[in-house]
Amino acid sequence: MAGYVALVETLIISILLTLAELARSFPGRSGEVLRRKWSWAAVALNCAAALILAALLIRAGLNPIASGLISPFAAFVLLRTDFTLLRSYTHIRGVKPLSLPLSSLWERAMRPIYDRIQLSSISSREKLIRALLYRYPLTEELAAEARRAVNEIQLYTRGQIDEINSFLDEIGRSETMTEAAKRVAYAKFILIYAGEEYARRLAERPRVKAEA
Amino acid sequence: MMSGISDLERLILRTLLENGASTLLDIAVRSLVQPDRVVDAVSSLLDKGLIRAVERPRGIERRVYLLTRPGVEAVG
Repeated sequence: MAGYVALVETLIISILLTLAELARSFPGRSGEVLRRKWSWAAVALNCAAALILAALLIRAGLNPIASGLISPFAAFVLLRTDFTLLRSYTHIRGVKPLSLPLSSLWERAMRPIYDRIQLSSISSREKLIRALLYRYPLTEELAAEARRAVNEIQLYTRGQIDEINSFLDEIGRSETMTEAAKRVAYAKFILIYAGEEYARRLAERPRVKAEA
Repeated sequence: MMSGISDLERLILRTLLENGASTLLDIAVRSLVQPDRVVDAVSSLLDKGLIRAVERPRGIERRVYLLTRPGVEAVG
């Protein structure tokens, strides 16, 4: 019986903790965030880690009820990533880390690991950027795709779209940036704001041969 | 520490804090700031020791910027 109670309390506390973190990390956008699969993957991951920890604690001889209380918090701390990595793979902006002192300590401790992972992520994303550059050999084509991406995603407010379009205009007008740098900037823009899946679809889109 | 940092520099530090190691164009695109302006601010942050640069052996952009510990403390 105590085992079932531990199971239920572990799951409930884990779910509540993760939902609270999602709400804090994406202020005012909880509904939108909860419609995404990865947010539920984060909930599931927290629950799974908490259950494993609870099982280990019970096996080590700790009271099941106490294990059920401790394990969700321990798993939460162990798994905390401030959604930095998740954010790299989504196009949701405005993520803020949890403003607890623990978060800051965690952030400092994890920073070298984040940077290492991010460095390898930069390298892997460059393959996609190269694919986009290859698929769109003309700067104007890539710029047009960047603008189209902003309008098609429909996640941004009018004000954000204006800010984004103004940035794209500045890139286009820049006299100091080389054409190559502009093209990379547009490709990165698509990747960062529209997401990897969108960028991959663009890169794989067959070219329509122009009639001579 | 923060008093000696311009708004643009603070924005760049915040971008690096939220996204981890980034290239110059990554910073420019993520913060929606024209790359020319980012170059100057990044140089200033390097001089102040708030960020550091790492050279990659290969890649479209070889130079990647990371927050230093004082950089994390300045913006965290």
